[in-house]
Amino acid sequence: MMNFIKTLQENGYRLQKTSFSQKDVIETQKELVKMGYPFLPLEFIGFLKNYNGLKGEDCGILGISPADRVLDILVFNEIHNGSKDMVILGYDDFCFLVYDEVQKDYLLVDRQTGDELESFSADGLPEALNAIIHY
Amino acid sequence: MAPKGSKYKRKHTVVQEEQIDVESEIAEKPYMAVLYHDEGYVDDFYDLSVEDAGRAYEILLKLAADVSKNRTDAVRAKRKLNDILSASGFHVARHDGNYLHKQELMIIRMDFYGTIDRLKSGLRERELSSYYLYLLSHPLQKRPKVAEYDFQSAPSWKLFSRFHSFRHIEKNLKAYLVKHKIDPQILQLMTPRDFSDLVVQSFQKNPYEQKVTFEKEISVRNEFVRELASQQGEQMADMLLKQGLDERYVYSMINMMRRYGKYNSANLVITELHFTPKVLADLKKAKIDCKNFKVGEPIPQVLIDSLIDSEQGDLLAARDEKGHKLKGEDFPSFDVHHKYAVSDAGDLKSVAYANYKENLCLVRSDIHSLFIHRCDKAKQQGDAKSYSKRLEFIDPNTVFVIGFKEDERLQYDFHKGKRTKRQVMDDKYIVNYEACMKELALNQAAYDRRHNKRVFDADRELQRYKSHRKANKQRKMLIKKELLR
Repeated sequence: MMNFIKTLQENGYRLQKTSFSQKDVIETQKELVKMGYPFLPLEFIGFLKNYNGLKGEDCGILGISPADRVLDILVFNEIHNGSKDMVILGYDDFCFLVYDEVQKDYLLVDRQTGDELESFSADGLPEALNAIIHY
Repeated sequence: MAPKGSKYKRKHTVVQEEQIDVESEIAEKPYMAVLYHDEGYVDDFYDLSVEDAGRAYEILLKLAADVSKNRTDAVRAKRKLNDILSASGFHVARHDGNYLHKQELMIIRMDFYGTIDRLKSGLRERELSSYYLYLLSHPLQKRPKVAEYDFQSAPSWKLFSRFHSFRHIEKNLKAYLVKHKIDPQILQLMTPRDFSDLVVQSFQKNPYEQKVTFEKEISVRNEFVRELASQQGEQMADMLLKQGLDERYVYSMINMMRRYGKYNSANLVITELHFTPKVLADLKKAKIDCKNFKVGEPIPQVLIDSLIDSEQGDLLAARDEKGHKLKGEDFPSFDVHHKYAVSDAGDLKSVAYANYKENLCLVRSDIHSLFIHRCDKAKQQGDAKSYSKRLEFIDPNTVFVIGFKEDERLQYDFHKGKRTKRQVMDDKYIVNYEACMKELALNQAAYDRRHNKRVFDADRELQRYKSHRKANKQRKMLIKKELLR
């Protein structure tokens, strides 16, 4: 993950100070479950401590109550999530990046048809985030 | 007035109460105005935030589809939906259900972004073909000639060579193969996934690079934005200024688009347009000659561009009245939108058309995500294939959208209906995905026969893979159920 964060910095994305508390994380997790979606993976929350919502060109990584509403993980999932086993973590103009709780892996799915395009194992979050962000 | 206690008075009171309820609901949820009001709902829609406009659209869409439950409501919703969408320049697209194979979709995606992601070791062995991995790790003793590498007849490469960006890098791939003395017959055996790995191997600057750029000059999306801003920059700036945005942001953004084709406000350096005491002091501190400049004079564009290029743009940073730098992320950002669904590119004469300038549009990010793509859904894996409802522009020449009103949309025809040289070339490389994959399977089987291996059977391999995935999923479902019990 450190390599990925370093790459983001090299591409002009300044590290953000954590803008959420532990309480915010718990509230978001509760809200997601209430909406019928799985918990956010812990490693993803770890990433959000460095970049809580990241806007790239035609793409984004969602965050916990970030300043930009477009990147709010609750708002985005409320609009675009039609599955109960997955939670959307990011997007580009072609795909959604989701965490599949059943398979315990990260997937790129076609946003138009819902087809799985690529999968990353449970320890493949940096590769999955790298696949959705375009700098 | 009806007498107190009469049935007319009671009815009047009920109507009044209902009105109060509606008004308070609208005050709380402004998008409900579009649903409750039978007149003026287009103006109500224009007054909504983008997020609420998306909500109103989604509810109307559901109501309009629900003919069986309440026909009157459905008809009314359909009328409102049509009025609102056509006033905003959209219509709901129809789909014929011609699905594109995921490999083709991924190639379109690579062409659009101009990058390919590296496969990490472990995944590489799983995703790449054994033919490719074997021949790559067993170089020939003698260096083959460049002419021996026949890309034109390589089945999987035919899928890539439909795109100019990939045809353009063929010589780099050949150079890599020659340098590493790779057996030329590898090309006939490689899968599309193998070719994307070969591009990564050929273009990587170091073995740790995660996202490898193969476009030599500029990616398709950035080229589109650069050309659009070069030709329509003034009109775009006027539209943004009309929305009341800070002119320093507007001109900095248009300048970034025009020079680099970039459009993400998070990476934007907003500069002053005129010299301020702070700017002159900062320039002096950085030992940049500014004795000929005075406070209030316009900053020459050459100076702005040269400082940005040398990463010293901050010396000209625009500031608010408290002296804080204006941050790009506090202003609107943009996305490049595919006007015609990429998933539907199978209906086009060539899939390469999917990324043509004529099919792209620069849209404010919030409108792109919260409205245009409102109905895109991540679905349950294994569900039947279905298209989400998709909005398309009524005018196919729409190139820039910053709002729902007519004067917030810009139309421009890049080629005035003429076929471009690129299109003429692309039309020579049209192939069918299934035919290419069949040819690949035959090549691989012939190779196996020559090398006394068991004949490769794609169907058998696929079946084995599917049953493995199914068993894995069932096992996980079982664990989940046990945990929930």
